[in-house]
Amino acid sequence: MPNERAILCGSAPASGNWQAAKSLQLRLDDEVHLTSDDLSRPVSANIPTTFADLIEIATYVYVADQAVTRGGDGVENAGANWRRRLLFTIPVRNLEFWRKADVMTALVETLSFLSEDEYHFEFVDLAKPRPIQHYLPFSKTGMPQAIEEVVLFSGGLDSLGGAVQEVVRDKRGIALVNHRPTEKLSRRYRHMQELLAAKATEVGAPQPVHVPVHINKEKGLSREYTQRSRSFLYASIAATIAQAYDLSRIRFYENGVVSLNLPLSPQVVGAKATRTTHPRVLGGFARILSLVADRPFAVENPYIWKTKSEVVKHITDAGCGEFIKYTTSCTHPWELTKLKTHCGACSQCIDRRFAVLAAGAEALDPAEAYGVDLLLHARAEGESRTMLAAYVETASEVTKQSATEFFSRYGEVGRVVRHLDGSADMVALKIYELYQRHSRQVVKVVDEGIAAHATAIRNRELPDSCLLRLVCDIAIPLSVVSPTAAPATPPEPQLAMEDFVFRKKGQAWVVRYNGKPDFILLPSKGAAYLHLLLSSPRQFLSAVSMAYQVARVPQQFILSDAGERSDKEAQAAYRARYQELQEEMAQAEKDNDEATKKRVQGEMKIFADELKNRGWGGRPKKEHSDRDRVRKAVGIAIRRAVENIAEYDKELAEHFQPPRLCRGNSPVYHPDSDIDWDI
Amino acid sequence: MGHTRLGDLPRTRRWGEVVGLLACGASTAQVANATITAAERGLNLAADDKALVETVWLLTQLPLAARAKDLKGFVGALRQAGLQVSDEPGVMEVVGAFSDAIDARVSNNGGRTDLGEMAQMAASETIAKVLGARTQSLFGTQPQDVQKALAGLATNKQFSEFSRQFFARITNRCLNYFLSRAVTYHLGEGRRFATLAQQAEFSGALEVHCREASKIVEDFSGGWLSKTNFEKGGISRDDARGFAHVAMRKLVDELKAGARPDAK
Repeated sequence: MPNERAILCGSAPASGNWQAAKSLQLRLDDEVHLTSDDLSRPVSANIPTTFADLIEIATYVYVADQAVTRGGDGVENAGANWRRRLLFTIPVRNLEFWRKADVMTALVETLSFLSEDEYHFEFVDLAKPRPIQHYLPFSKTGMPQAIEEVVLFSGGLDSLGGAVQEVVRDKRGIALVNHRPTEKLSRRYRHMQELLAAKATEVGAPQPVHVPVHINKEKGLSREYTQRSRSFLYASIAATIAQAYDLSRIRFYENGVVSLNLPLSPQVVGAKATRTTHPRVLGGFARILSLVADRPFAVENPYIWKTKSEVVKHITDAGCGEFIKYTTSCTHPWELTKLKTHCGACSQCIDRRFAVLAAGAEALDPAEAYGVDLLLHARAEGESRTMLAAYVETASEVTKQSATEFFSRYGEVGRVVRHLDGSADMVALKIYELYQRHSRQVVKVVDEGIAAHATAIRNRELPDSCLLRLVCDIAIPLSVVSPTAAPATPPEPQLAMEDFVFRKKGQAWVVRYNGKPDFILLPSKGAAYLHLLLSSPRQFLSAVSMAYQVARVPQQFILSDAGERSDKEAQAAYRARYQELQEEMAQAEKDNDEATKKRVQGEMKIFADELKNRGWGGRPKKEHSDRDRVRKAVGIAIRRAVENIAEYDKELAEHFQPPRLCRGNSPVYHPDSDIDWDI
Repeated sequence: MGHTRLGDLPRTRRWGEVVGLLACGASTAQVANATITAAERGLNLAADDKALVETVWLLTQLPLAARAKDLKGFVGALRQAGLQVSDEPGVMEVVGAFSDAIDARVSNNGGRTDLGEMAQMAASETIAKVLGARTQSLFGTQPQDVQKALAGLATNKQFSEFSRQFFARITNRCLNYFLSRAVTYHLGEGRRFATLAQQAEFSGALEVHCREASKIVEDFSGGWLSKTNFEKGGISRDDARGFAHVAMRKLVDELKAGARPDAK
């Protein structure tokens, strides 16, 4: 098992069952610290010790999730290493409870779906149990008001919508459980807290209680960024607080599109699309919490049938629009400044900006706060452009799909339909409608952007890679393709292709043999040598001369990463050619051929200068060493090009075998019958 | 929450060729050939994926279960195969139960790879597509109509087409799994895909190519189901594993040959 790790937690001894696995030791209060602010209520007596166990288990799982890397994104081994095998040994207070089959099954099934890893748990007796107050310090000062709901609060738009719903609309007393914001975000977060508190006073609702949770790990334990199990830890903490207040429910507020998280791109397979609040995960949390609390416990997402844009509308309709600019959605916090509060390039920023624009709330979330404008700014090559393209293309595709087309494109829906309330048919219909609404909202933003900037688009005044240019068909047609990173070229006239073709197309070669479909041969020296041979059929060419010709314009023939080797070969070719010229000169002197002497002298001067200028002179070598080296290099390059051709046209590769095509000192192309190559 | 990150192709010679062909305007067939050649080793590693085998096995069980003489027998046969359906399942319930059955079989992800995951999704999509077309609607369909639609797939011809659709989808998903890491690097004016529409055009052409390549699977699927079911009195998971191996091998060979001008 390539990606397996035994996680020894607390004082747990190494397990005999998992001896083969590499181990990782985790100790709470040693490598890992979990703390929370005061909860203002002496309620710890209500909390069964199974909750303390749950918090510790969830902390260990979360920390291990970040400490064990996933081994790449899976291109080379179909994602085998993405799925880790995590073997936990965890000390607990209630050994009998955690060893129960139904508890173990609920834990393993939920976590393995959440993070797509393989989990095994071995529970052992905890020698020195800590009280729950160690993690959640309930104080003795008394509670200012009743808590009616415990809500997870990330500080993003959706969780703000949830807080607004609970406090402003429903006037309920709530506890907001959140990750304690970093220094960079704390000021924004404090503003939002103050606004929410003021709004609660204004509408006559109880003041919301904030419960910031802080997890501090040793530096070496933060190696894997995916953090798929994070929601399990926060759900465990929130549920413990709910239990303290005699509540049997917690709420995540997450819009349905993000909660279901259908993949934006075909490379996003399985849990590479996060399942943090997937209905099946929330169902699994509820199952675990019901067992831990020993009574029915619910985990809800009231926004499951809302789009993000509808959430924004919900916030503005409640008169809380000015809160929006203090929320943070960006997943690149290290890039943020006071003025640029969102990078604008990550998936979360793209999603947020579309939602805000679709809801007509751009005045409440100024464009200046984004590092990259959604519609008008150039997108850097790579993930930024890919992400935006995938997001818009997916939305555009969905708006055109019938229900059957939608479900036959997103098989991931199969994992949802039986895990939400209602019949599978009804749930499926609601999912289809949710995605239709979301996609129409995205497309509307793009359409309105095009209309508003029509003149700039037509005049090509906007950057090439901005969204509005990428969605408009005013650029070069597909049939005219220019090489990567090359400037746009005017369309070439499309001529009927001959039956035998070996000619340049951009940097590459287009090849056709005997009237069969043409194919592309990527630039290589071997292809260039073949081209020289086909250009002079039945003529013996000098390998040195061929190498020299190709080396004179190496940028046309070599792949970019072959530079160093090609320089060495070119150096040898230059020297060998110089030696050939020396021989010609000797012969010309012998024959007293003045014309040849003059020509050869001129050529020799050019080579001598070239060798001197490029520092290629070096110590003169024996005559044969360079010639042999060049002959071998030319022969190998031709052979590789023919092998490459064999992958696309075996018959042509066979045609390029001896005696029709010979390598050596004097390569020659000698077809059985004359072929009129279009070269 | 809901954060998505996208990756790149490795910088190896094989994958470099795929990127180069995309940049230089090679046809979809040639790009597909180069992609499957570069990916072959990784896909071979995943060929024994439990989820892939379970998916193929369950696909064979659907039409066989629907041959039951009545609805009760049909539901019983589905449950026997691991699909926990109600007494009156509709189309989307079957789709959901199918997916859940594979997850239950491959519980805790042991031995699962991205190939198995793609197979599971491709199967759900194929069932939704085929049943949606045969019952005229995905919503509110009568269970008897679902049974009838699935029973219709048990003939040589219909199972062949059903199988082809599944393998075309899994092939398309596989190729796009890799190519989506490279395609958008060629997006923008002066690149291969000047606009998103041109990129979508390429994706469409790739889908058509996958459907054409999967003809090779259609040619033997129906006969295999009838023959194996008749001779062995049912289809075992080992039978399904063998079938999946042969089908995937044939598909890979076909994709490689599909770009060759000398291919039939």
